[in-house]
Amino acid sequence: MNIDRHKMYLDILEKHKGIVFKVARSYCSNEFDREDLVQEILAQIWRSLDTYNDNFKITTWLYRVALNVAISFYRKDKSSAYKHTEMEDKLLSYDMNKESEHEQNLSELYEFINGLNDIDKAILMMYLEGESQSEIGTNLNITTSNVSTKISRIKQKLSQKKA
Amino acid sequence: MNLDQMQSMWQVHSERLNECMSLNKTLLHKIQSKGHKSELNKLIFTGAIEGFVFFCIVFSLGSYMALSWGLTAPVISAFVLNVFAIVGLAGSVGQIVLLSKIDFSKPIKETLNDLIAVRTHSLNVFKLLILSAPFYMAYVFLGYDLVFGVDLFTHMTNETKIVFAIVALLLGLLVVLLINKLKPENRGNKLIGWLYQEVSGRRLTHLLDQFENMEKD
Repeated sequence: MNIDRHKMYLDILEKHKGIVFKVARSYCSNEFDREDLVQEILAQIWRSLDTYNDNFKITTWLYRVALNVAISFYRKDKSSAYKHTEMEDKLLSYDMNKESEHEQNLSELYEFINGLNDIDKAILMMYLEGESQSEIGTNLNITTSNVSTKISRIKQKLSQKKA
Repeated sequence: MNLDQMQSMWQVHSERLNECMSLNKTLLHKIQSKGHKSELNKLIFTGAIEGFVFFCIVFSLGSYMALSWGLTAPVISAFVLNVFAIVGLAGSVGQIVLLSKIDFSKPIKETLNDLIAVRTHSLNVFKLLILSAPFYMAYVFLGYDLVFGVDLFTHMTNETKIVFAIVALLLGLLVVLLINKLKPENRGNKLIGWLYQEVSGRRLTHLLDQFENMEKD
């Protein structure tokens, strides 16, 4: 294993592990699937590391890899198979107590994201990250007007949910 | 909650995540040293095994033809089956090449297109391989020669040959019908839908659904 490459990999993960967590939580509602997806994303980040160049923001590049993996790989619902199993170790541990005051709102937010289709999830996540519509379009390879339409529809869904 | 409130909550959440989260480097190292295979590598590995099996078949049939050369039914059968095995071998190699080209850091739609190209490729190889069904007698002729050392064709009556030819023709028609129906738009049909999932894999079929949804919107 190349030591520099491995160091770069760990640095990226340490600084931006939140992106992996957010994508996994948005695409998988149960923790067993989530852990699988986290492993898969981390494996693909390692595999794609050579394609990274300075033309990209590291966060944009990470989002692309993570979202591509999340969208491309269909996972079986493991919740019933592992109902009585405790997960021993996780790659990304999340201390909920530190966010307890927001957890209720966050759960609602993730619940809403979970209910969207895979492409809309990607668009909403990038939108929430503050990416412009043209950047979202570039990351998805769709037109800006298509992004705009999709965001309007997401807004509609959100207002319907409130009602 | 509206989208703007959602966005500000997301920003706060993102900032806090780094404090709330820890990366289990020991586990990560353990997984890496165990050689965790990504899903993509698993598909490439499966393609390589398939390719190896087809290569063995091509090699064995080639050796058989070289050793038993002559215008006999078993040798012609071996030739016909070898053509299909070569198609399978080329298909597996093609699939490995397409899978190796997949780059997850590309824009999402481009990656989806690349994965759909893999799916289309495996479907086309499958279509070519099932064209061997009407030649089912080739397996029988070759099997008889290999197991019993008998050229079954020379012992068959004309009536039996005609019956087998008619069955082959009917199978040929069925195969042509199936190939014509094996299109994405016919996935609503239970049999075609099932075949699609089996040939292309559930993951890639799911992917096609995602892609179609994106185009529809």
